[in-house]
Amino acid sequence: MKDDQYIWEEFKNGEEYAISYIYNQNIDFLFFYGKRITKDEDFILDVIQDLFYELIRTKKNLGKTDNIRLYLLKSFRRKLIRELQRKQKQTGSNEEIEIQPDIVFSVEEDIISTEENSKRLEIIRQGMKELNQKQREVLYYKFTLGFDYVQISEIMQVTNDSARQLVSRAITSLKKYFAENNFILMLIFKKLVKK
Amino acid sequence: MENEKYIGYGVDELLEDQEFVIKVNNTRTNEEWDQFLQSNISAKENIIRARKIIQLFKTYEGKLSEDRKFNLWKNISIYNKTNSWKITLPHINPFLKIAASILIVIALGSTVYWGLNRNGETYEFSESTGMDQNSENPFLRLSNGSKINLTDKNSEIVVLKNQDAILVNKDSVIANTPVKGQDINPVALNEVSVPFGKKTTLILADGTKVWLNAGSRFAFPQSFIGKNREVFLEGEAYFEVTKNKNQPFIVSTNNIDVEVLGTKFNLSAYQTDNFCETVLLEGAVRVQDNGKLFNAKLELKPNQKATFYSDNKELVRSEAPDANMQISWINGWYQFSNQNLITVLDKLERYYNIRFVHDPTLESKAFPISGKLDLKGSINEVMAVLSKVAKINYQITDNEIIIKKQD
Repeated sequence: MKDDQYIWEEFKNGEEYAISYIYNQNIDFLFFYGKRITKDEDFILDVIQDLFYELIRTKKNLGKTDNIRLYLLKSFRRKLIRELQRKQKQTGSNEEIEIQPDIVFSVEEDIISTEENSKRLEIIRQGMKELNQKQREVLYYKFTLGFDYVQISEIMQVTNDSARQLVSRAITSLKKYFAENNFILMLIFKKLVKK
Repeated sequence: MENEKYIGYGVDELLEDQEFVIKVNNTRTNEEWDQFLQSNISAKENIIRARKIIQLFKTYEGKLSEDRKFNLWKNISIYNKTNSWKITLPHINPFLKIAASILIVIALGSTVYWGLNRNGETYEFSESTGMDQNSENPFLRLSNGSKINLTDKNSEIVVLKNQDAILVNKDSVIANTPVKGQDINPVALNEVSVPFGKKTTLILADGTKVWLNAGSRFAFPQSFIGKNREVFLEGEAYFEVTKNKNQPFIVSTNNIDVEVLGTKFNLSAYQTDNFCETVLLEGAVRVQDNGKLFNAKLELKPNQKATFYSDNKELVRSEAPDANMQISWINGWYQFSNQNLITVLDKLERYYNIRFVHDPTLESKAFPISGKLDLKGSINEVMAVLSKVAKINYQITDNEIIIKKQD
């Protein structure tokens, strides 16, 4: 954490190695975060480039951070949403749909896809469907990335309380679903845990 | 005995606990997990349940292809460079804003001694800027005799035109006024010496920008007085020359002079090479053999190069379609296309200040290679990449790298 703070200051002072370090440490993460939201890879790379250009342009005025990834993720998410909205307008759809990152979990990557497994996979997928977009996103930050509520509320631009509520509702509906499918799920989890 | 941290925790409370989530995500081995369970034995059931839920959100993290990563980085890096220059320039030299034209020349040096007579003029680098293989950092020797160590890996020097001073790394201004009691020597030049493994950038009095590559020496005046703007180079440098028709810019190396006719250029003249190469990217330059008996002149157009062979003193012009690859070093990349492995190794020797040892037959056995190397990484990283491309085995010892062709 202290390292992040240091690197960030070095970057703000115009040290060339710092921007290279920040890029290399985060490029894969940002790209695959983008991939969960849209399939258009060139679009994602454009937004990442734009993100770094802006950082470079405004580096003198940037605030402090002790978590560079969180800092990047915040502006990246904002930019992605804005650009997706712009893109949607261009393609002519008149509806003002509020775009939210739709985090798609790729559970299948972790499981060998045999006939037997794919049935179990279907149940997990179904469980994910019980969640809405926002809930999936919030659980991604909470469980996949291990962020706390302050960080989550910063990223999603909601209050601390709403972040808590989102998480707790999501967990409740997951648990309910799992309780109903308990028997089958136990089998799947055994498989997952073994791996 | 350590207290059980999660004693009495329900599944919900465990899921709420950030530390617990991080523990689950960061546990890589079964042994580590079993140990964690053992130390929280009374909440074991709930811990297992909570972990299952968290694991549902485990995602597959891939890697972006190296090619796309590199291309994006190239854009960002260039943007970063132009941007940081922009920040510096308006405060120091507004004149630079008009420095639009760019000329690039690469001249690789020869074995002839630097201080050779050239058209009656002589320049000899002072003893103190001698290429010391062991010197750690680049340094600057001012015309008033003072010597300044430049501690950064990539230092930056700006000549403050009307102030008899030099700005180093944006923060320290060093006065370059004659020492009291000494005669002013109007032709005395400032000298920069960059050891192997380092780089330096300069902005000269006229706003011309110079990137000095590893293992180079460069001499320049505090201000450009006289008919020409003349500077001296040994090694490799990339120039972006400020246009001034009334005062031509001339870079002299020990074999050739390059006269800039309003452009940007990159010039490299290493004494250890037996040829000089001048590659032009934009604008026009005139390359001239400065030996007394020979006075061949060549004008170059963009994407052409002039090669001077010191063995037979011949100056030859040829096409150079990959001219802009030649300056990738200024961004910390080394890009090459259909190059002999030995040429690539020579460049790396200078950049990293190391020595390669190889069988003399390697050159004939190795096939031409193309690619790009990130010179910001360590030599180990670079060798790992290079060995795959060039199909070589290598062994790094204290100060040498032994190269063998793969069978």
